[in-house]
Amino acid sequence: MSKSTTIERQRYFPLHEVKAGMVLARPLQITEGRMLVSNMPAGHVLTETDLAQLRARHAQYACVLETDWRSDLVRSRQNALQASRLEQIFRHADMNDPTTRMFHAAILGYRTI
Amino acid sequence: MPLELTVSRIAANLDRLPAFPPLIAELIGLLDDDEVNMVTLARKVERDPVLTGRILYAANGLLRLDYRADARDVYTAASYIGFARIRDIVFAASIANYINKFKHNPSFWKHCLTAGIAAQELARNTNVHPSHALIAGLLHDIGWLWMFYFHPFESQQVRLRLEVHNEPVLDVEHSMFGVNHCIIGQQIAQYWKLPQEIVAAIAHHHIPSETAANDALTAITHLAENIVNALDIPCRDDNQVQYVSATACRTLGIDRVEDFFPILGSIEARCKYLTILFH
Repeated sequence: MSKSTTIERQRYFPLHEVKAGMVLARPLQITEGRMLVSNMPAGHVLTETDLAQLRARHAQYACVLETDWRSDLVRSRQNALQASRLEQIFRHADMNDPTTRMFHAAILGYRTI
Repeated sequence: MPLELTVSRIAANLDRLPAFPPLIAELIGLLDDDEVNMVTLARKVERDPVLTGRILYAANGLLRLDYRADARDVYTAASYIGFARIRDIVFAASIANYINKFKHNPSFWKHCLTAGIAAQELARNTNVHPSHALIAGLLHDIGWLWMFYFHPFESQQVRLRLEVHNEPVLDVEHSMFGVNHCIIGQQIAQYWKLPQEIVAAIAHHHIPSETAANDALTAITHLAENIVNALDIPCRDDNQVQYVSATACRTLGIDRVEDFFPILGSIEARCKYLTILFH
């Protein structure tokens, strides 16, 4: 059996995949025009009522905390696959250019959390 | 043998392209008019039954995600999901209808749609009108459709060289056509009399000069395409990131790796949320 280090990670989900009991990783603010109509802080545990309110306000996504249950082996294999795909996508990029390098680092960091 | 196209040769056959939906130009003209309301929008849209069907399909998809009953007309749909969102659906559905006329690979439309969504998300904290960002994203590769429509053989050759030989897209287009899809797109957008900022965004979205990238909509469109390609949405063999403009990032207030995380997350989540509505 492979070793498993459980970690919490921030994930963005479309609203129809967000469930009651999930914990917001980032504040969720909804504005209508210039008016703030809903403001939930990071750490807030979402309830069915919250979700109904978010649907009524036409929210489209939320950033929640998710426990990553993958084993270290699976995680490192999946991360290697992501890195390899990115290498393909960036095959013509000038990686000496600092902004392109920063962008690549951002995508790699996002894809391998 | 390269075609060696010139701007005047491109301009000469723009009127042979399928007619651009007049509704889009009409609605763009009304974006800043506060007097335009749901009734005006619904009346304009309902003149076209095919478009109405497409809009209702997308709007009802959204309503079902929110556990609400289907709407049977555009006015009711607009009153449920809001004027701004129904207007975005009208833009996306009209452009989807237009692109479908070219019978091109479906992944092309998906790429345009995700770039549009990404552009709108990037416009959130700028002065750019969200609908301008959406339209620039949806139409940024319109020059490629021109190439496919008038020169299908050469376009297939470009695709082949991208997929098999992994060459940079603008280089391949230059060698086959003498111009690239950005220049052609600029000609088309001018011919359609789209707002100047959208024309500039289409013209410079690949490799914007320092001056061009200072314009917020050009910066948004440039970054939007790079983001959806880098995130591989939709997954396509020819997704490429060649160059990311430092000026474009600066224009949008992106200075550090960490600044990208919420942008990437929200774009990916919104793409998942919205792409199911426009097949």
